[in-house]
Amino acid sequence: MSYSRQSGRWLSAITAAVIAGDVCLEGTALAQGPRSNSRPLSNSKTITWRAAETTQENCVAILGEIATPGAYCLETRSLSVQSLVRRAGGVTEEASMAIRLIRHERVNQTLFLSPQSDTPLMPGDVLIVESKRATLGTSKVMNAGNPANGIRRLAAQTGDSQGVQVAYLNVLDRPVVVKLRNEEAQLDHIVQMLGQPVELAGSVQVLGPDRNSNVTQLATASPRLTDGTVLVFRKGSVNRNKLPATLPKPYDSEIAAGAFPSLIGGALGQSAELRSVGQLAPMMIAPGQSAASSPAPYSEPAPYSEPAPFSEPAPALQAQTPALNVPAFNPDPPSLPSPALRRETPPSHPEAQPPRVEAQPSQMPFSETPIVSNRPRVATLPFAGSAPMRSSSSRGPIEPEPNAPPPEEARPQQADRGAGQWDSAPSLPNSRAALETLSGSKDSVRLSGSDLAANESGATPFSTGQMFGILAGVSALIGAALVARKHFEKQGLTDHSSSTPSGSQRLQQTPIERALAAANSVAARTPERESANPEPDRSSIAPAPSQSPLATTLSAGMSDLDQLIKNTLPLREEAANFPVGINLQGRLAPRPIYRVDRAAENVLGSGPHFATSNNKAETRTDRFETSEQFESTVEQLELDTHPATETRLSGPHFGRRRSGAKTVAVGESASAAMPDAPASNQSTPLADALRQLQGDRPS
Amino acid sequence: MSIGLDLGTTLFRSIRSTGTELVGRQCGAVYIVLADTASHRRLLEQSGVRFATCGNDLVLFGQPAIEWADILNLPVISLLPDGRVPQSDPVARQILALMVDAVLPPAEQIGDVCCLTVPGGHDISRHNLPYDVRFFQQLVALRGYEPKLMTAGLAVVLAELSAASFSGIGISFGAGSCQVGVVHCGRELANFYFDEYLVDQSLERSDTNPASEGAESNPNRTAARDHLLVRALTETLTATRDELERRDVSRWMSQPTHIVCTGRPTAEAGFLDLLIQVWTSLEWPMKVGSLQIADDAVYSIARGCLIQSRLENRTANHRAA
Repeated sequence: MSYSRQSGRWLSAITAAVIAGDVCLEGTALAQGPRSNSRPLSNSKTITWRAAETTQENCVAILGEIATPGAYCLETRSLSVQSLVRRAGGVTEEASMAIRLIRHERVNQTLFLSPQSDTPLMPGDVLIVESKRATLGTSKVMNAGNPANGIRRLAAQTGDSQGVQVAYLNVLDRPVVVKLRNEEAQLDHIVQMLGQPVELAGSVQVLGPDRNSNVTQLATASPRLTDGTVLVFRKGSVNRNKLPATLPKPYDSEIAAGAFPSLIGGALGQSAELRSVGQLAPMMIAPGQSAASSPAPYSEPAPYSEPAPFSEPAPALQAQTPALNVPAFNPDPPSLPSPALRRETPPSHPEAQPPRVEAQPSQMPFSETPIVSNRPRVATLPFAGSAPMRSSSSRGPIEPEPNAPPPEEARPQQADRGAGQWDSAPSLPNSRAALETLSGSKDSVRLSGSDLAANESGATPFSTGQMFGILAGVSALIGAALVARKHFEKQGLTDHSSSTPSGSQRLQQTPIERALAAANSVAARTPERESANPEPDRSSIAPAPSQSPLATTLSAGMSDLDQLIKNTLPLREEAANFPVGINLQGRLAPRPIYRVDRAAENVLGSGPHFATSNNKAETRTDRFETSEQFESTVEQLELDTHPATETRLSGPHFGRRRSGAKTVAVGESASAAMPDAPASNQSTPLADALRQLQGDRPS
Repeated sequence: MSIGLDLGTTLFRSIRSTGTELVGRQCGAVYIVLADTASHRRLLEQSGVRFATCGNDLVLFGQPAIEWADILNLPVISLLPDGRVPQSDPVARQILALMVDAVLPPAEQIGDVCCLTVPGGHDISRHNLPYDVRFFQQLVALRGYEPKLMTAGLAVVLAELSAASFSGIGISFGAGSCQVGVVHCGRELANFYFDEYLVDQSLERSDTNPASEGAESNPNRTAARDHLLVRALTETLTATRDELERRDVSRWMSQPTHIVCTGRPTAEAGFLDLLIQVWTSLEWPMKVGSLQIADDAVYSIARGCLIQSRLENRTANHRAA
């Protein structure tokens, strides 16, 4: 429901732009398009420019039990949880179906991964794919006692020897995902590695990796963090100038979709970084890098091609996919460099690099290999490869397929290339490491077929209890909607048009939104649709082809509103006339009076004798250091009070009389200044009444 | 009949539509007092100027007051000092009522909607509205309208940002307050105001500065005015930026965001250049698509009020039908 409402708003916004006669793109059309046509009265004073890009980047992050954890930059806002999981290579065998969505620096909701439901993402979102081990084993731990101890015990339970994935928020303008050694996964250690003072650790919020861990404020304890932890730094607390230059860079959406498997340190990745991060890109260059190794200028990447259906790889893909030699499992995970090495030495440790994959044709350089843009990453789709689904329903250990590699086999290499590392690793080894996942993906394709068969035979992604819960929730919503509709029908607020919002929505909408919604409803009733769905009395609704939707909606007596919005109506001014012979009741407020004492060179405001007004300037008592200041103030006062102001010596109520002291009375003495003021013309309401009484009396 | 009413600190404006044209009225919120003498009466009557009497004084208000203040060398008195209705001045309140009646023709039928802005900065979303707001609401209701309050920021966005789906940030540099409205699809998400660092007052100071007297083309005067204007703009926009950052507007604003400014200072020559200069010197928490000033600095807010009134009236008629 929220998704449809949101799409409706987007539709409204687009409709309004079309209504106004032009579509605003990057602000230029707003300034130039409609105004040049619709402003006959005056020229528009409009400029168009772009401010520096200092806002949050359009990036999201995913970590946990995912094949390629890391930050992903979105080209549009249309990315959803499913597509992100798909682009990140799918979940691992250890993943549960639960994904925690961290939005606006707090746990927003826990999603259950299923093909039937999808959730749109927003910039800055962080997704944590929960592990079955963590979900099943830590609820009691996290609920008992100090949550920091819970985190520590959780880490001990999980016993993740391959490193710890941790996400940072508010360190940069995007989420940052790093992989740390187990012994480094401590808060104070991380803060030190970020080049920040250790005291900063006290203000960092730790969002645990599973749903049972709450937001934790770690003041003094520095527990060992576990896989999938999100550290939320306070905004503005991180000194970005001291950040290491080798923080991992985000994946580009197209590249993450399969064009290039690993961007860390690669030329293409740096190009993507340049586009997305803007001026932050130079900061990302390692100190030891020369200008020649700086990121290459941005070149427009190839458009993102939607992955093929997961069940059967496209024939073209199959034809282009090389036969990959799956390397033997390396029991020693690639070691991460120590913090001292991270900043100075480039990642040229051959022992730390993952085993290489012999892609065919092996003679071709990797960058020229034609299959990199079409490699079947789609094979790792979690929804099709229903191992996660099966794990969700059964909650039991997964029996690997006979031909499938063990889940631990791919994980060290995936983690090495997927989660951003401290060093900017060379692209080629990491890219080849990614191809190893590719081989695993091929196996996952076989898994997909079998699991689809399992689905067809009755296995569902949800348990029976969950299905009943969903059905009950939907039924309750439908019932509530029906009751609300009846309620508003009684009040005459509902529109009989099926496409207009319900009564409750209409009550909350502004008039502008209502007009836009009405325009949308008319726009939706195109002749083609109506011919397909005939309804009575629709002939009068058919819009003229040349009219905008709002003009069509407003055709019945509201075209002037369209003109009013477009500001095309001429403006005529008429005088604002007052009635004749008005007698205002009461006394005019006295004007402020200042006493200028030239002997003492000060200006006194009205004291208790002039306490009727609230003017701030009346209470002034200025003392001046120099005579020039005093004279300029007196001059300004006399300027303010105009020459009609009476100037007289100060009266006895000013205390002791000084020679040269004068009182400046503002405005109230205008009548006395006029030479022909008749003394008998005292016209007050009371005097008028008395005079009238005397006139009515017989003499 | 729908009408938009923009009650400013120094100027009251109304605008309505006849179907083929817009009809506007404006009246300055000032008055002058002169002695009730035979010569004054004769002079005013011969000139066809309407005046009121108060005790042994004659009171002129609106545009005639400004003209006759120059002729008779009299001080012009503001009816709304600091943008507030003087509660201890009953005469001023009577004059305010006369002015509202002058710019607001009677409603054609009971229940016509009149959207209005009120002078100074007020939080109109409060349940207990302040005295000033209730005072003007009552005046509008006495003319037969149903008053609907709105902010100047929302009004200027409705009037000027139709091409951007009525989304953006509207800034009104008023004489009593600088009001900022953050609007998305015609719905005001946030609004705030500042009653200090006023650009309009800076212009007044530069106009009354004896050192800057002279012709408009005097470079000294222009430089002094620009200096004051840049300083006031910097302070105002810095406060605006801080408030936008504090409210984290960039999270829920469509970006790039369009900015539109209005108010008397925007009609000054070279204001746009100064605004760009100041704006670019600040770091904003959002992407800015365009920065523009309203076409009509006098009636833009009133036109936004009229648009809102038309839509409210249509909704009311629809409900009644």
